Amino acid sequence: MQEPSAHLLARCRQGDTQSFAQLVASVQAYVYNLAFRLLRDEDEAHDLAQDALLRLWQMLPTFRGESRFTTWLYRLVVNLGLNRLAHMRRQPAQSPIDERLAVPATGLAADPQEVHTTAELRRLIWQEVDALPDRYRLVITLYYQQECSYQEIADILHMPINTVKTHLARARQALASRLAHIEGVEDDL
Amino acid sequence: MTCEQVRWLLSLDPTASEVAHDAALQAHLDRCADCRAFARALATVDEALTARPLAQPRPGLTAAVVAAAQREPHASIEQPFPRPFVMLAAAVTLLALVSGALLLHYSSTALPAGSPAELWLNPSWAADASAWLSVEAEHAAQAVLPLIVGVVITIGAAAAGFRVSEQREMPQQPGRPRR
Repeated sequence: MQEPSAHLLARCRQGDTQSFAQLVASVQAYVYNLAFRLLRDEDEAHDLAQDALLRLWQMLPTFRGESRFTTWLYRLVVNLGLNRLAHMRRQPAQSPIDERLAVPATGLAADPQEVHTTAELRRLIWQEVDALPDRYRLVITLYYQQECSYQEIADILHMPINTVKTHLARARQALASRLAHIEGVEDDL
Repeated sequence: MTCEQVRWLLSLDPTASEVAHDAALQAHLDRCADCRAFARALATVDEALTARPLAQPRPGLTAAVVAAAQREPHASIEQPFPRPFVMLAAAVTLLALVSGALLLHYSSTALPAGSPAELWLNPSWAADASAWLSVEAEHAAQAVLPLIVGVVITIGAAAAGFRVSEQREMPQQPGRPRR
């Protein structure tokens, strides 16, 4: 995500709602994507994105520019999202996400013969990502989709940079192992 | 180099910039078909993860957020330290200064023999200078001690206020998610 200009942020801080609309339009896809990858539910992700953007409006005057704006915004989304996720997990009867979490990661191994197209392969790999634990999933999303550096991910998730590297490596290793396995099965068929 | 080590090194390097220059690792890949398959799978995973488009929000999100923003107050610009902490720090400092002044006053009015006045009136004052200095140093220490305590408390209160101010900037971090 491109960093918004200091001028635009300054106008938003002064309460200019037109400038804020411009800012929201430029960040909303990234905010929603992060919310969706974290919660894996369209309705919940939409609510979270709306909450986070409204909170952005309220909190902008407190943004002191000590970090990049995008890092600050992603921290806001992740913190609100983790709160919401914890709340959702306390209500298992109403949450389809809990059911999905309970399902083992079987996307790639489900039916090797179906893995023919690149699009299908990508879909299955992301299905595997969705089955990863929250922290690994967040690191993958922030690194590959939100285009954050190791240091930015460490700042957003409040973890040491080496932990970020280890989480990313473990997640990639798990995904590649599953993929190598499925390709091996395909070769045998 | 074992297969396990090779796969971990490959997994640690998403840009493959470092492993490309690792001769031992490349030699292992040349002779190990399983690790080559793993490296190919890793490249496919990276390609799939990078190529995935962003999930798109529903139309109208911006309008809904801006409409809500027009009803919501803008947060006031935070003071570097919240007001209660500033007031507490000021009160503690004032108390420390008053205590120090009172201690100095009472200790000066009840001086034993060898007080500064007597010492200065004494023709042999130069000989008693060291005694005078030791008396004054003791009084000064009595006065300065509460001041030092006040300053320490003030710095502590300011640091605590700063932390609270920092936490207000961001929503609270919930418990760490399970692995």
